[in-house]
Amino acid sequence: MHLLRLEAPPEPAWEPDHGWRVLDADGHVVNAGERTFLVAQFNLAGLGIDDTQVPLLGAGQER
Amino acid sequence: MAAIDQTLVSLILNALTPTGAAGIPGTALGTPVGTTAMKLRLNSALSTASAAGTEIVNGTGYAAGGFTSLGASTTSSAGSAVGVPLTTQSATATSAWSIVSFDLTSTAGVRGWFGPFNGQPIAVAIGNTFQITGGSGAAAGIQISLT
Repeated sequence: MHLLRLEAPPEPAWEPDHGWRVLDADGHVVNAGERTFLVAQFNLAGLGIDDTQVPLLGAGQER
Repeated sequence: MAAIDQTLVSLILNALTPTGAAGIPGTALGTPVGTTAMKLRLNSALSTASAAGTEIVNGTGYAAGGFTSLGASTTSSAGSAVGVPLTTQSATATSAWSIVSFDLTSTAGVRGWFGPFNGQPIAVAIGNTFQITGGSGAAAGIQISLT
């Protein structure tokens, strides 16, 4: 149970391990997760070659 | 392993993240995601390489298309990650949300990056507020890098 309030929940101070959080209507943290790391990678393995090498023009798999 | 030069990594990251003034994309690599402020879209289903996830319904502070006013992220240099958002984003659920993934898009919804949230699915009951912590560089709630 919480008291009704009109103002927005308070902005929390920075907590370095928290990337997101869920606050209840009283501004209490009810759930929180660490930062989300999105790592995109160039994948050369899909070229059908040893991914330790970059193919020369015309030397890769025929497509 | 074959890889990419770190300078080019930063060019790509900066062009596809809100590193320009007031959260517009950087322009060092043309303008592949437009020239106006980027958005952070929240989804109730996983995004894939071919399509965005199913967007959550509107709430207080969240409208279709995603969070706006992300702020200007710190630019990548020497291959460093870009942190998003600069400014903490908040929205209160007016119907229950299950938040799974996000898409970082242009104003018009063209996607740059997508990924699942750490700890997803995130249950947000009616009246509760979901926040993504803002900050400069490594302090931001979402870290985007390219290898």
